Amino acid sequence: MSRVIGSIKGSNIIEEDDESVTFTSGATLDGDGANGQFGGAPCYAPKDFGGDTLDFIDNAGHPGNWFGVVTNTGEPDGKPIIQGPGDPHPGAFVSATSLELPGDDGRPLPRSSPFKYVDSATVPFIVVPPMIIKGVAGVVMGCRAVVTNTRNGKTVEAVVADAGPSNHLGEISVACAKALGISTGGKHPANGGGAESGIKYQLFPGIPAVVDGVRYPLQKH
Amino acid sequence: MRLISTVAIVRGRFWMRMLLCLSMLGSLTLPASAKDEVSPRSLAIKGEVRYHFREELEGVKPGGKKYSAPAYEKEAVVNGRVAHLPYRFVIQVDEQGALEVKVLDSEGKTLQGYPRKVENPFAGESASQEFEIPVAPELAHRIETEVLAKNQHLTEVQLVVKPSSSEG
Repeated sequence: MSRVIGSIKGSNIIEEDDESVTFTSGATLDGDGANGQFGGAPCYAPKDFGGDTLDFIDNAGHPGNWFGVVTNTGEPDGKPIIQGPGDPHPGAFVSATSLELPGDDGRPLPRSSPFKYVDSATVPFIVVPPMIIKGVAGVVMGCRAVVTNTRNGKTVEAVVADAGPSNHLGEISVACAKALGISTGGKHPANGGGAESGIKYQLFPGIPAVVDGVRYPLQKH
Repeated sequence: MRLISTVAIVRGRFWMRMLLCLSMLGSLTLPASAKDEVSPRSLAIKGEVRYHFREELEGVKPGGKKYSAPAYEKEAVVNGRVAHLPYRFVIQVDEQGALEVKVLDSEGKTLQGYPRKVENPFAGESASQEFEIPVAPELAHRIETEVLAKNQHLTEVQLVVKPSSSEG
């Protein structure tokens, strides 16, 4: 029998009989994890960086409090890692997702690797709050998700790749927004646009996502 | 016929005045155009302030991402103001349809970096225009206390202007 896991700002999060999780809400955009892995724009870069970025740099934080980029110490007061000559976007920062990807040999990549994270610019992914991650038996991070824009009927296969705040529901990557026909921001695609309502989410905890032929690892948070 | 023309002229003058001195009062509506009006299209826009933040996550494995994806709380701009900022927002659309934004502090002084003007603000894929709003550390702390939840850190304050009919 289905049960309500919880509710965030009026949207019920329901665990269905088949153990999938559903909710309907709006959609805001998350540019995290975009490091130019597949030719897209990076999420963040220093202010003197010449190219486009998905998000406004202030959303990464500032010296002493780098909330949104990988630092040399792993702590917010460390120095941001800057991509080098052999990386996808030399000069850009490295932006992280909660879901971490292994290298080609299956081993963990270093925290500083741009390829360790899921690329918001090119991979459809969704963000879920801790209430879902901790509220079901199956592993959520890396699991399959199906997202539908009920306004236009567009549906996309996605992966759960990032953790959101405890009181926010309905967040998707820039690639997911584009696939669903949802507007993005003007100057910075991840810093605007979105949908107020009408986006349906279905997650399948414990079932690894396969998106565009890529199988994603399940990861306990 | 004469009556219709007179009405059109009166409407046209009102329309011109609107274009020249409209300030953002929550929702700005420019009436449908008459034959002799400057702009051939109608434009209705709305504004909101977004308080962007990240939340410190609990129970993260060692070396894992410690802060959440970014999110925001929002307040609609009503009569040029929002509850949690001491600023007044003045938003004008000129005769060519360009968007001009001014942000005034509590003393009526224009904030640094303003006014700003955007030509063809909603052309192409742009469904909105975003403007960063500077906030001093003291004000940022107050916003974190009054607007945000526990363990949430303000990263950016933003004014978003978009067509009234748009999503998001």
